[in-house]
Amino acid sequence: MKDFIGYALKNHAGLIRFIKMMCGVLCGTGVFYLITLIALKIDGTIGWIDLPLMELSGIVLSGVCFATAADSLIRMGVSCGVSRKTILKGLAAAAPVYAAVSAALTELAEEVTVIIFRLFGIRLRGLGYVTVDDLLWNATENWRTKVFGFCAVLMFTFGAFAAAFMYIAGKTHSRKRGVTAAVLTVFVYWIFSVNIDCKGWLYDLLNRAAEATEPWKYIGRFDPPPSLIFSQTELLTLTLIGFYLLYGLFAVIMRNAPIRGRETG
Amino acid sequence: MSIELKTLTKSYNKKLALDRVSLTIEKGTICGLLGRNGAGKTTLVNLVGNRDFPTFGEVLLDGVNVRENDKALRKIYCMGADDLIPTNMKIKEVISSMGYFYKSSDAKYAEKLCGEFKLEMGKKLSQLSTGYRTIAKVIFAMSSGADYIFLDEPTLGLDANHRELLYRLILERFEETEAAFVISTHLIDECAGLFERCFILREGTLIADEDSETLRSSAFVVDGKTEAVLLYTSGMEVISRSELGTLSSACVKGKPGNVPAGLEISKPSLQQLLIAMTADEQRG
Amino acid sequence: MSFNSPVFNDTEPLYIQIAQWIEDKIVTGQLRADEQIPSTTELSQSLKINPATVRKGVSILVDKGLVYKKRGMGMYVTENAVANVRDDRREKFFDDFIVPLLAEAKRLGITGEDIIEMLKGGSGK
Repeated sequence: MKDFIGYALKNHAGLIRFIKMMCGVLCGTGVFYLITLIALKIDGTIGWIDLPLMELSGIVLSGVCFATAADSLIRMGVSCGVSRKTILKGLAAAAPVYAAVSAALTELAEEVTVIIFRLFGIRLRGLGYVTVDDLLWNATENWRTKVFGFCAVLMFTFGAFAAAFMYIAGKTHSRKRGVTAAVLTVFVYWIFSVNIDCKGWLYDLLNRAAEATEPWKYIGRFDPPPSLIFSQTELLTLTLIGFYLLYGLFAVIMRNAPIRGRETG
Repeated sequence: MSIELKTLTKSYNKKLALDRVSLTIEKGTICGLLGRNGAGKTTLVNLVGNRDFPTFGEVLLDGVNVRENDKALRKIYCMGADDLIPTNMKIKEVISSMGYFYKSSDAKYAEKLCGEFKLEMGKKLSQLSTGYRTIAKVIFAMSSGADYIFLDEPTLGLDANHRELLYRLILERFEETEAAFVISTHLIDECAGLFERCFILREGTLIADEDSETLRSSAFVVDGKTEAVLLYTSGMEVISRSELGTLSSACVKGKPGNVPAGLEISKPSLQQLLIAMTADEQRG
Repeated sequence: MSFNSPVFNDTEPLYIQIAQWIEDKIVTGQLRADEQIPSTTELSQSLKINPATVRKGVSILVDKGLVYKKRGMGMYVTENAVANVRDDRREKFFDDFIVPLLAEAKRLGITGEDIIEMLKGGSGK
């Protein structure tokens, strides 16, 4: 197992390539943000702006990068006679490292984005922790905020990773199981999202939709029952548990799945 | 020191890809794994390499089941026609990756082989032609340092010069390392000299497991007028028959007895014998 | 580059054909007395034949006294190898050449006298 973990973390097919992919992807979204910034400035906007979906893009993309990296690792492992057991155990051990790395990169990208926007007079709101960027700007020495932000990103990264695993499992084994697994992932994270602070982006989105659309006005705002609100730390722990539960499902699917690659000859 | 397949069976959707195949591969031999497309050769190699799992039966290396067994699997390398190795990887990356898993993998030897074939190590697999991709995969297999190397169609897309080079390199490596080579190929006449032993699969069943020379001399071909051939071969085990107008040719198991005038006897090449043994219509 | 000849036929076992190939080289003087014959490795890799088969073929030559092993050096052609091969082939001349000749002649309706005439004409050349 040490071989495989070593391979996953050291090799250019593993972590290093993942980092390169993440950087590429984040720069890509960075360009998109830049274009948005230019558009907003031309528009003459100033003050608070909500870009909730864009804020999460880094996390979704980290899931995609992870799926790509993990897929390569699995294939290479199988080609070199590594047992499924070892691959699964190795990935489980390596995943948190990948998650932490991508969380750090995403958080860094987000902070940079927030700062750049701030320089132009626009304050970004996103992910529910509405005043974070405010705190960030005014109290940058406050490490707690940074950890807070990091944990939040880590949490969603695990979500993206779990989805990535389900995608790989589906791709390898059968489309039906993949779809079931993906739906399951979404469902599990939906449950968690119910517990996010009421200004969480999902509800933010829904609320804005409610405000904007005629018939929805009568339904009213979506607010999670107060008793279900957890702190970010608790949420992170729950996420980790959820992640490993889904990983367990992934392992069960992959344990006996034929991994052959596409026939060319 | 050997790999033993014990009643290895694999079924997909109620169809038997491999049916109770039992055979032994000794270390230090070069064997041919022959059969038509879809006969089960690739399935067999996949089962040995832990890429897929048997429905029934087992693959044993020195008595130990290789299924999910890292230690045993590291002594085996399976090269296939598929794209299992990520095609966006560069050749030198794959070779260094292999070093993590195959402790005796020989990167220098891989470099030497790349030089012989004029293969640039900085290229990605996806950038190579079919022939060169095969060459790359064979190089990975041969430099792995594994004790048992399975090459599934190592000649796919290779020009004649490269094939000659490949055979020479296999023999060279074979003498150096005493590894076992199991080669599936459709270019049987070219490779016949390499094989010490041949395994023939037909629709998932093992129909021959013998040393090459015995196999070759196990049958003869009789040509002549159809009635004469039928008369002569009555009571004999005819492997396959073909007709050309009023003439017939039959491939028969065993040795020719007293041959009446008007009939010609000849010995089939390994390829001809294989074609006869794996022909679609079998009349006995 | 591969050697001329090795499209081995299908009539005889491969190892016998290898032995004959080397014998041919001895008889035609390409390999002389006390000269080293190509090693198993060289033969195997050049002719693209399994070394076990090559070894079997070479051991036939050893049994026939055509080739001997020099300690630590390889296989060498014996003194009387050429003579041995000639004698051996003389014995087989009738079966290998005369019998098929007569069979073919019969097929074509060529008589014994015709053959003798042809021989007279041919051997003069």
